[in-house]
Amino acid sequence: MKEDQLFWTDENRALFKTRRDLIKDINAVEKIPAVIAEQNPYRQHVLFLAAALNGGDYLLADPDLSDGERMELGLPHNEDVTWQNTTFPEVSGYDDLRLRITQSKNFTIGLFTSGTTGRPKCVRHHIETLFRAPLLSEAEGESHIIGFGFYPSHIAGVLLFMQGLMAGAPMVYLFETPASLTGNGISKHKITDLAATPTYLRALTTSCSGSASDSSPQTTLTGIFSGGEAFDTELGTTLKTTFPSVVCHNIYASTETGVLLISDGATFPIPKNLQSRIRITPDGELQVHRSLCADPEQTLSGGDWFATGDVVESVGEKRVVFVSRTTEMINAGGYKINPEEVEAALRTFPGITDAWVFGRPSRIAGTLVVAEVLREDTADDPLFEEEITGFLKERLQEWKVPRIIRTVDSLDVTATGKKTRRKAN
Amino acid sequence: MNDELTGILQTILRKKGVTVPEKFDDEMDPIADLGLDSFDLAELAARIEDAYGVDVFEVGYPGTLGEFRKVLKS
Repeated sequence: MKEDQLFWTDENRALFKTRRDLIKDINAVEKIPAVIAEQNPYRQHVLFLAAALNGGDYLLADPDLSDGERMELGLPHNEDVTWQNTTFPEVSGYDDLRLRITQSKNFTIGLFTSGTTGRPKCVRHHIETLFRAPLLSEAEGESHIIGFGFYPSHIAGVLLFMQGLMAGAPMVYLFETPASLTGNGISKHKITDLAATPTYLRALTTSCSGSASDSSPQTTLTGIFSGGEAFDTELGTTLKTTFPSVVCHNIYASTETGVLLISDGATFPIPKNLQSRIRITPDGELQVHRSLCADPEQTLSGGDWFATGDVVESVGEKRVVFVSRTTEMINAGGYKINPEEVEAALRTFPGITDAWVFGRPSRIAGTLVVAEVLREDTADDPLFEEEITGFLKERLQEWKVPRIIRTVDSLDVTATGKKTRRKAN
Repeated sequence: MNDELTGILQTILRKKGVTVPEKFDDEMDPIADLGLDSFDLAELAARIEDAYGVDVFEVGYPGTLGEFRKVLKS
């Protein structure tokens, strides 16, 4: 029976939900919080879908935000979050669910981004901007199994979820699975399509080519969807070598726009229907017309064009390649980090008088977040790094914490006293 | 063998809050045996570069610690 088909499972099948389970869980939702922030991704999906069916305005937040981070985003404490009662008619089945989700009109979900300036913004999406077009046809979807390799409450995870839902493809949650086990996970669950960041994919190919796994994920994998970071041609070659029968899809998407461009490699064609709505400034920055933005009021500061902060080069007729970023935001392994937020946290540590957080080029993660600090007491303290790392983990989400924190004698300052920032690649 | 590489691995594992093995023998693989993920590997590469001046992943993933040490010696 179609309704017994798998909808969502985690890697070790501890949580195994069929379509029937999903419908039952959605119908059982009596109240929806205004801020959806669930540790359990399946639970996030259930509340998200219930919210879309119910209508109204909601926010999607990461489940591991500290109190300080919640304040930064203007979010209430957990205890103060308001709840809405559900009034939507019962869902009768998976097809009914999909139809009603696409018809959802008065529903918005706000996702947070630090965008290009570092000041957090809330971008409100409708279903139309979260699901513009299917990337897996429904006919294919019936025989596709998705490896879910993105952070569920960030834009890539939400976009991927919508694709899996609408295609009717079961989704296997692999995001938290370490690289050494992912290859086995792909074989075990017979995953056909893996969606993840280049950093995740690099770690996967590394562990597959090593002695780590003896079962070959090469046999079931036919598609890879990459996004969140720059995709270089070297990665494309490595993926083809490790997974010979695989087709790669490189997705350019953002919290502000949803999915914009798709490529089979590092260069992106600009489709005809978007050519009048995507432009490149003389400085090479890619800009997107307000009609392609999910929330133009929030995203645009006057004018009709959203400045993405991505610098591109034209290659051939209506094709671009991404070369760099214009902003100070660091993109480390797909995570967008505001160096000022991390520096401010470092400066609250007793004994640290100043801090500089920057991105260090990394073969594996694209960019690695590292920091240099000035301390009152510069005595050699071998435990300092562990201490400060622990301190930061209590105040910031783990992926914002610099991986190397060095004590230095002075920070790089220009003649005007401004810290020079090493630009992310 | 207790060398800088061992020290680096100990730092990474301690920061992760996982048990640090008493001995790091040459047959150990950082991914399979020590559970390093992609960000740990990136950190490992950076620390090795600072300590040894070597881009240890330049020609690919060395594999076991013995293989790592070979790359660092060359």
